[in-house]
Amino acid sequence: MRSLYGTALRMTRNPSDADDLVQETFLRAFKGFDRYAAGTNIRAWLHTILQRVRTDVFRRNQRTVKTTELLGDGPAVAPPQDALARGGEDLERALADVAEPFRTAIVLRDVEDFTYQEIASMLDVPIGTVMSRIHRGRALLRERVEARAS
Amino acid sequence: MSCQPELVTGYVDAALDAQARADIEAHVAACPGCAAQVEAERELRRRLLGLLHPPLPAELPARVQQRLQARRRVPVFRLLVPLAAMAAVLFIWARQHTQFVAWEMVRDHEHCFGRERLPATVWAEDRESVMRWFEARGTRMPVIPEQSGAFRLVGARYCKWLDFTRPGHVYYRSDKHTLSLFVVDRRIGERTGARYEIRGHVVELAQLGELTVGVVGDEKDDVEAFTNSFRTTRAELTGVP
Repeated sequence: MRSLYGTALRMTRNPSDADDLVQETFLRAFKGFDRYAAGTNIRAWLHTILQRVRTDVFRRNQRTVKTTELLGDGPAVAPPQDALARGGEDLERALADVAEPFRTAIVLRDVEDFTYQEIASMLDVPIGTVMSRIHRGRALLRERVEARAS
Repeated sequence: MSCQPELVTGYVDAALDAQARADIEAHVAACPGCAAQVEAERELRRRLLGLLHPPLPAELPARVQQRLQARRRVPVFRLLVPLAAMAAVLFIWARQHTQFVAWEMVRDHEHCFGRERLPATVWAEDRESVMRWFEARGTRMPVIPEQSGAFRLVGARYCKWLDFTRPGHVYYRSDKHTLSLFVVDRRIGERTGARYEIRGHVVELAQLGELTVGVVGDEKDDVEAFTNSFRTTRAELTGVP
């Protein structure tokens, strides 16, 4: 659950939205548990559901009056205390500054350590797109890190 | 080979096939810019992998559990709709089924004669009074017997069945036994007649044109004799010019 919540928080940059996404993810996982293939990676399966939930929520928000901006730059959420303790504050803040969909791609690849194949399946995009987003995401993140350092 | 920064990223992540990996490896060895990208991405990846998961909000696991439990409780209205549909199907089936009608007649027979005082609405020993009483209320009646063996007409009323039918219920009594005649204002089932034994009672059903009549008694002989006298009464009366 910590891995899911961490990803949700880094994607949404909002603890309340992340909380909602995780709750919805577990509800759907419970409902669709018969579709989980025993012996496969349950963490990847849960993350796949998380991405589906997030897409649905995003679409729903677009249909309603106001949208919580998931794309583009926004105010960075305060980094978690553990990261502070590890001196990851700057990195967390820089990561929060990276625009979507590049931020999610590097969170899934570099923080959660999923393979390209797993990420392609979660985001429902070709592997080439995953590689492209990770490349762009890392370039943006390096820019942000350097900007903060200077 | 020119610089291909996206493939260099794939190379860092070991996501390339053997041929592409060999090509990029050769290129990186000769290109300081791409070699720097490899190093920078590896370093960035090392730092990102070192990030810890943020702590869970204290209430989150409990909230998830609460919502999972709420899901398990099926809302009442979701049960009511299929139940109502089943009841409707059962109802339509039952009211055309002679066995259900026979069961209702026995239930009513026991209900009325089981009371300290018969719940008749009309008290009369002559058939004209009883038939007129029903006809005045819009119920078509066959010619009913006043007497059959030791049984004598006592009175009548309308009953209420579970399927909302309101049949005429005519009471007969002998010194020892009781007997009921029911008149239902519709045909029931395909058969012209049927006999059942339900909870120690004998029930005989017969179709009379668009009407269905039922006789409920304690003894088979009494019920048979009553049904015969019923037929005789009709024959006698229809024979009268």
